[in-house]
Amino acid sequence: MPPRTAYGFILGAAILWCGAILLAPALAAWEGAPRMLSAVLYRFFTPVCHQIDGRSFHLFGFPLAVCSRCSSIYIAFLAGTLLYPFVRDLRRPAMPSRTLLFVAVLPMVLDAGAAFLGICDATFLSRTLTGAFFGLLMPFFIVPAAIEGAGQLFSPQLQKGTPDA
Amino acid sequence: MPEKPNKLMPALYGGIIIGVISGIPFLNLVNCCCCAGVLLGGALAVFFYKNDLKAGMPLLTSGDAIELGALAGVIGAVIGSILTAGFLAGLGNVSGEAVMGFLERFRDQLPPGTLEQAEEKIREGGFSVLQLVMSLVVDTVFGLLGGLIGYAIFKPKPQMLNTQPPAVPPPQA
Repeated sequence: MPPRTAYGFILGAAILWCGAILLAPALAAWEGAPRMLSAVLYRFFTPVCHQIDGRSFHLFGFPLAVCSRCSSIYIAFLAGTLLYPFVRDLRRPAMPSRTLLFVAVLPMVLDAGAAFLGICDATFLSRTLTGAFFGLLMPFFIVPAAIEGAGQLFSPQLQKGTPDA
Repeated sequence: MPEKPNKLMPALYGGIIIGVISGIPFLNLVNCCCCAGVLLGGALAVFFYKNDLKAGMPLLTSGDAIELGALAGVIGAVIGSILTAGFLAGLGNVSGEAVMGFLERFRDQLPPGTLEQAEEKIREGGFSVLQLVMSLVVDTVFGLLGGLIGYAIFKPKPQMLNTQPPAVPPPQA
């Protein structure tokens, strides 16, 4: 599979996922069928997030389908995916150091961990910022690995034996 | 060169981890944080597979990680749904009741309407075929992402890669 096609799939999936998160409250503002579809979308995201109203961004007076931390992760992931081709070459998928992966997740773990242990309370802003930081960096790991993997899975004779770019 | 090991067993181990985290009351709250349990299962499937690779076998690739993560997600969704149905039938929604008890203690600090909303969600908390289908979709996607994150963590170091010897230039005439 060409890198651009694989990238298109990831971008499309990220747009679809974020679109569904935003569509749930937008449809809830209508009567009839759109509201039923909205209920299905909210239900779809139930296993992924606690969906507590007080911890969520609101659109048209209704909460987004996931909480502020999750929303910022997914929307920042979409932003990072859009940014990716401007920062890295799609034809040469290369992952950053794994240290950056731990740097990406650390603020979120500290924020959530400190709140869970009662050391200090996570605020709306801290949840949003730490989530966005994690979400923005994730595409730099996911996109190259997915491009490389899709190349191996869909044209194995070309890519076999190139485990890392 | 010896062939790569079977992916089914590492994916099954990863799937069991996903299923146990998703299906056991209280433990399933881990998934409230962006399906962290499913991501973990997908990443661990890659780790188990990497441990099965012996010297001389082809190295771990991101294609392997995609297959392992997605397969672990599918297995995890099925195991998690069976466990959820079993616990709901045997014990009722104990996890939901415990969460309500926990939230009750912080009634004064919670935004208005939170308790009522949580209560409504817990009442809805049953098991259905629709839920299994949704779990299959969500767990497969997040298992796959977990597999890719696992690849980012456990990928072979550059010095371990098979490198071609440099081409010898043809003798000058």
